Amino acid sequence: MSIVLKNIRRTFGTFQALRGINLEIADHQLVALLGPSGSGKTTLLRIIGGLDFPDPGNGTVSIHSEDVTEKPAADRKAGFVFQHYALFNHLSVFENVAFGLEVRPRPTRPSKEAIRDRVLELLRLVQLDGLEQRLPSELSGGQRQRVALARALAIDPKVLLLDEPFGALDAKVRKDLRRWLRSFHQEIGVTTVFVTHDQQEALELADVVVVMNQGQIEQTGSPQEVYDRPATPFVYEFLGDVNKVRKPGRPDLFYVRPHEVRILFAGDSSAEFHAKIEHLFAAGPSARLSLRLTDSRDTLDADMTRAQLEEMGLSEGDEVGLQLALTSKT
Amino acid sequence: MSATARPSQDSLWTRLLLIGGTVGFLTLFLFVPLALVFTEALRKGLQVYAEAITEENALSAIKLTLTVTAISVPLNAVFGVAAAWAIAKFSFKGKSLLLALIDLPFAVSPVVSGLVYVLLFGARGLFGPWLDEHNIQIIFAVPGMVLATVFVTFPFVARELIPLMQSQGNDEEYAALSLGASGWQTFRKVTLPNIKWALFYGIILCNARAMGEFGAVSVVSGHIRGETNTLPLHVEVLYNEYNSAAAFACASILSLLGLLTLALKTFIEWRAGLRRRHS
Repeated sequence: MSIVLKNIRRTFGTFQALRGINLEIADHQLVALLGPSGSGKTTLLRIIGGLDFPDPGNGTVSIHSEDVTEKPAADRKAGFVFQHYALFNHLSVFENVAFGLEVRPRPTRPSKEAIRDRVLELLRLVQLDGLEQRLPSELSGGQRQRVALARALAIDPKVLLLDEPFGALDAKVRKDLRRWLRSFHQEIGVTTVFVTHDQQEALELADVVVVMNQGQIEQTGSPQEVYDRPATPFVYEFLGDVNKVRKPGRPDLFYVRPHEVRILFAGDSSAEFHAKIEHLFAAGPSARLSLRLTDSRDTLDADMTRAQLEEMGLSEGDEVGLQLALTSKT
Repeated sequence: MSATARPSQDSLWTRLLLIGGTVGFLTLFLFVPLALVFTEALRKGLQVYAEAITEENALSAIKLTLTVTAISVPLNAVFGVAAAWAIAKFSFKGKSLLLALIDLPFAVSPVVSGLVYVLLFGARGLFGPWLDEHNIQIIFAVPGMVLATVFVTFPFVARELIPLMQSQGNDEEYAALSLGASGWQTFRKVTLPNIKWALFYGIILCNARAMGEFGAVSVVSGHIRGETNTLPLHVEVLYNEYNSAAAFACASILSLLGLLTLALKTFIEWRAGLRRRHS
């Protein structure tokens, strides 16, 4: 195991940021800590990196089987990348990346040539070769983020910790960088934990998604697991769109995702529910229908392909039959 | 930036009145007095001027002023950085009280702070007998004047740094620590370069005030000519003796130091502005 967290608690004044976190992260994995703001995900990441600490006596952190609970950040060899990069603005790209090597005590500090080779190699790795003399202010957001990554990698970290790595970037760059990070992680193989509030990002990028809410872990699993078999109502609602439906005469709520709604003709005998199309939105590859159930008056969304929509010849105001793969969550 | 390019919508008369008023005020209360200091100083010729500032007591006053400044400014630079660091980078109980305490020297009259030191360290003061036994002289001597100056000029560096360090946050320091830097390395390689210009600026203001301080130093100095008279005190003594040419000559040195400070301050603002635009 690369990282083992046991029963971590952290309180700020009266606010309980983390309420007993237990988590094991295997070697070489790319793990997403996913949750809404205030769920404690960044606090947890900082505790792993030694930038914050559990309440005294409440929890232990191990990295590579070594208990580092009491160790300061400088002794943990955890590469940390900050949301707003935290580059040293008065230093060049080269000096930024070299920083972690230059500050080593003399006996373990590499020679000038060795540092130079390592820095240039890292800059090639993050595809920034040729920019080593620039100042951070002369780089784009995506480039700065990659400098921060190279800087963190320079210390040969045991784990790589990324705090909202794409949070400050615009949508296009975000997407490119996301794809790049995925293949980059495969290339370097360092156990990586990143924090995000974007479910899409977590599902696309991570091997393991840890869904957090109010200082607790709601579910840990592969993207498919947490999406297809959500362990709690919170996970269900947080990961992707979801409809809440009541069956006639029963008080409990059921969950169904829009793509799990099967649309049938109104007269179809296998229909479990009947509904009216209130609104139809068909721009893009798939069509989204807003439906109102005839029995319970609940509304729900359904997705279908454009081809299906045209084949059935549906339009707003039509009555349709539905089949729902309902999951009870209450 | 666009504000300067946009033509003002105020009428011509309003503008003329405002600009004229400002220029008039500045002329009357700043330029004329400043010019007068130099004309008065030189009224009896260069000979008298040179004599007035090279006379034994004047030289000793200049020397004392520089000594007191040379001790108190570095002290306050260190205290100021430490206080700003504590306030900006850590959260702890009593933080707002500490902030208020830093402002205290701005709030109380310098004369009061001088008197407090007399009450503490004077012959009949709290520590007076003990100091007397050990033959340590603080009041009416250089240590007392340094103490009074340090007290009065304490806020300048801290006040300059606190807002800047607060706005910069801790991320760069955290980054340095996570890369394996020690606390001292983090300070020297990350924090200090980030606060450099604000620190210079604070030191210059502190320096100007330290050289010009009158009230607090006056109380603790005892006005011993050639021994505990700083330049501002010396000016007062000369003036009270109706030796206005000499008084103004010495005052002109203080004014020159002030102008030099102003020039340095403008230069630093310009440099810091360049840097800000750069990043």
